[in-house]
Amino acid sequence: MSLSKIIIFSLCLMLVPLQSNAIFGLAGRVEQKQKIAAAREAYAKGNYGEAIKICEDFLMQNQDAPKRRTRRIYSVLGDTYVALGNYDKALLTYSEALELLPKDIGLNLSLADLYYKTELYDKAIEFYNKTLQLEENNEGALLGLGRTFLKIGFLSKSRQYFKKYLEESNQKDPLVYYEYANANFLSNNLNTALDYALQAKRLNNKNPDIYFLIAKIYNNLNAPKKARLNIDIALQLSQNREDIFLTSALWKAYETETASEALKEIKRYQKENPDSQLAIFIEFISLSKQGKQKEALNVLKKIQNKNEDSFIKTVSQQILANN
Amino acid sequence: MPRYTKIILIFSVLCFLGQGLFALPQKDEDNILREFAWQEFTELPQNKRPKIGVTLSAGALRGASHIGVMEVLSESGLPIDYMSGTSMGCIVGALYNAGMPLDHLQELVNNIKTSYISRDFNIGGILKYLFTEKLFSSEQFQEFIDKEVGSKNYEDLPIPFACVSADIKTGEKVIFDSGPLALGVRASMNLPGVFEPVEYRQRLLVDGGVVDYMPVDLIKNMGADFTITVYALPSFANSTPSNVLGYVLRMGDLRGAVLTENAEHEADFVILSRVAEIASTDRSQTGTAIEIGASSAYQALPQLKEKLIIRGIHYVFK
Repeated sequence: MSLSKIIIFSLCLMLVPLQSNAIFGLAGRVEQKQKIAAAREAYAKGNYGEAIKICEDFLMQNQDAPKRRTRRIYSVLGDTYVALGNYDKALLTYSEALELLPKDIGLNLSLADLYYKTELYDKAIEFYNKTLQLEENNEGALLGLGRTFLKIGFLSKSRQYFKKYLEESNQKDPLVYYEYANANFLSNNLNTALDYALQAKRLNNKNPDIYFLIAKIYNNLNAPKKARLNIDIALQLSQNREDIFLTSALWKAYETETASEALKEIKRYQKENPDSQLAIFIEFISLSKQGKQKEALNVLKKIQNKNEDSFIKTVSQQILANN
Repeated sequence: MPRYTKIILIFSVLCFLGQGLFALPQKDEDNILREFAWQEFTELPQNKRPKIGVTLSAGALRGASHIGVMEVLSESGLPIDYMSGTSMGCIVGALYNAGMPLDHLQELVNNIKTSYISRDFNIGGILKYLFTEKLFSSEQFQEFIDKEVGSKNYEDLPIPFACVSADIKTGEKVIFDSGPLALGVRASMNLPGVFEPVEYRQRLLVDGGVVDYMPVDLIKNMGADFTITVYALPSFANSTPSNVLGYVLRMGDLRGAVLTENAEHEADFVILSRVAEIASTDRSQTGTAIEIGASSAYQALPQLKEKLIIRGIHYVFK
């Protein structure tokens, strides 16, 4: 055997382990990808138990897997726990994943969303902000901050983030227009609120909440006819919404011209809801507006017999004490 | 069981379930009436409702929370007839009242620099402080306030406003409710032991927190029938001062805690900003303090509205 043949043969022998590594490595990669796909499929089909098992097995058996694959499996596992309502486990899963991949945008956002869902708003703000540090104008984080600040009542910040989201996003989601309008309504920016509520209505003209908000805005803008028109549409779209019905009846009761109409409506309502303190109060208002003061005060006494303490009961006590 | 008995039984169960399913919870009914009545309340003329006064406590940088509180109160439509403040409460109250937009005020506090307060916060000034025991001058802060809001007087403000300072010579409370706004604001936040006292009409004035941490009686004397006090709550258990300034402010807070005990009882409504974990000198936390202030006020708002509606009930449900 010539020297050159010996060298080639030796080189081939040296390459054998590399090739086998490559072959087995490739097989491992394929298997890992298959497991991720299987976990995702189980999650998508709602087979959460199966999804969790696949993910946990993967994490046990593939501790040296590349980070991007581990991230995917953590993500599926976290999402599965969220879907099951097991927020503690979901929190642990995302936090563990973030220890491995602290700069992962998706994981930071998922954790922020989870904190929002569990009403840990200061933590939600922290992780939405981290997401924005990693990706300026990340739409999920902008929207999340808009919603979180709305929940805690920091309305100027809420408006700021909703506005930014609406500027950045190509999606015209009526819900976000509605939320932005609501943040403006709560801040007494009534004209902006109306503008965005009307845009929300253009995007979805079947949503009773949008009409209800428009009605409330018109009411605060002292445009009672438009308010009435919109609250009537809201009621038509959702006849079981007691909040809309009672608000409408209260508005009607407070106006002398519509007080008797309100009385008829509320009497019908009381047949099915005899315990409603607000219904009794509306009856009192409508009778007062019709000049039946004595009868009205007698009606109000009915609230005093109710067991449940409430603001309405306190108001009634005060009115009775003043008369 | 006879057939008609079964029908009656099923019907009764359905009726029972129906009531449970469709009845609106009491708190939601309360919300509807409250928001309706609040709208009516905010539209009442001043002579048909209680005159409302808001007082903002001292609290150094924790007092940045007052900005969040003021945002919530003003956006709720709350009519404010009188305002008072001490130290940081005086700064926020004065700037808000002078018409500075709250977002600008937030930005200002979030980016506050020592150079806004004193020209002596440099090596030369510190050496002078250490070796000649000469205190820093806060004159720069007066100029800063003047520049930010224009040279306004108390009399120019839309809401009658007063703030508190203390005369270090006599221990008397000195009230500023007329004359140059910036001078009173400077005197009210003029931390003793750090800044040299402000010389004014034979008096040597220092931070009002020394004598009146939360001037509730002041707005009562101004004419308020309903007093809202906003308190930037300090914590003594969870933080230890780490520098001279921290210790000076801690002494102020300790004294403030004693003084506010009475003031809290005097007020008709107290908004506690839960900023206890924030150190008085931590500039990086002012944004969080503002958020906490907004959140605390927002949580307290329904109760505040209810109290005021009850006070003005005769006119609300006329």
